[in-house]
Amino acid sequence: MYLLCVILGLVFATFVSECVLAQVLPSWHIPNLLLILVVFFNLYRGTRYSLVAGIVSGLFKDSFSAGPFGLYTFAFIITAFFTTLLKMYVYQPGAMASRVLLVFLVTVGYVTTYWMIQLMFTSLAFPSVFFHILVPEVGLTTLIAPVVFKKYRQCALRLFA
Amino acid sequence: MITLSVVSLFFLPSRMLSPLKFKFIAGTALPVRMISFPLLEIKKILFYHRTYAEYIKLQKDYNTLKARLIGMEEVIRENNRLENLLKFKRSLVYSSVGASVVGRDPSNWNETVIIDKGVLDDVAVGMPAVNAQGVVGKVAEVSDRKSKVILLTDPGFSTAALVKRSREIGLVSGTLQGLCRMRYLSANADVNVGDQVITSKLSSSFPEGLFIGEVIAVEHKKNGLSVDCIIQPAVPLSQLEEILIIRTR
Repeated sequence: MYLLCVILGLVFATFVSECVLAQVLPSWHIPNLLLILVVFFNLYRGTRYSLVAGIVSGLFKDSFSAGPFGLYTFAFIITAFFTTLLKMYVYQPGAMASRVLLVFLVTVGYVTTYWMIQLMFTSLAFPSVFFHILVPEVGLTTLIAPVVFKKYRQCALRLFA
Repeated sequence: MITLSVVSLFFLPSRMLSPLKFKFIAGTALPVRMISFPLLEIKKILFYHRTYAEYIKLQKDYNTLKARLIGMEEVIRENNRLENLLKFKRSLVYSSVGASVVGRDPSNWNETVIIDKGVLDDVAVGMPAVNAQGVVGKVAEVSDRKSKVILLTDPGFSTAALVKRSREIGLVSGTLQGLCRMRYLSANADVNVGDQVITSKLSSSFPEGLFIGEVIAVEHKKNGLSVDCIIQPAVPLSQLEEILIIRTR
């Protein structure tokens, strides 16, 4: 129960940070902090916790979106499993470079998954998605991943102790 | 003799004495300043702590006043915005309700805002959202006290529109670039850069004649069957704070 509360609290804090960034930064310049959180839980606590974090993150995002409900939740669930799969081949414990590479691949996977689900409802051309979503989101999320990981690690060490 | 001359000074009119007085002041001011300068400097050094305390107090006052001034400027700006919105509301034929933006979708995929009016304020799904500059979007979801407005630039938004000058009709929808695209214009449509695009009466949600934006590019399709226009929305959607929901029902 305590762990669930911690996950909920961290997801909520991260979502609030994303909302604040959305107010301050121009569009396409918002890193996907919730995705980093899902990857972090997967590496730190395993797939189950990552799934819980993914589902809660997805529900938060779906509530604010005007698209069909459940798209983000589905994309985050896929991402949690995708991280588990990639972890086996890419991740080396303690190596920052492998963590960053993992975030990069997972973000590419997440954006692609979301785009493919979106195609069922709206027609989004690939060049537009590539230049306005994939490149900025993957770039920014990968760029800030080391810093965010460090902060999450500090939080986790205190909260899970 | 001296006493008499001094006494006679009392009987002279004051305007005759005034220039004399100022010459006297000018003559004495410099030496007085020269002598008092080092003394004043010593005094300043000796009482520096008092000056410093005063400086801190004044700095605090300055910061408080500056913050208040910024707050007041914000109030003035808000007042201007609301005044424009009120003027626009009066010019509308339809009944409308003013709403404040209280949230925004943080994702890169969607352009949605949350407003503080809902079913209890007679807001319903599909109602148009506008402000003094033009079309903002339309209501996508409602709850009792909050609603979600899908913005003009969201890929899921679409409405019938026409080019004001040539009356060419097309369908305006959002793109991921923060612009709009007008589709399904005929291949020989008379559309130029700079043309204004307004809502059409064919639209199921919007009343006719609301300003959407300006054409910034015209793209001819490779198959030669139609023309697409890229539209710059009239409303700066990233700076939305207040909007009007038009009650079309």
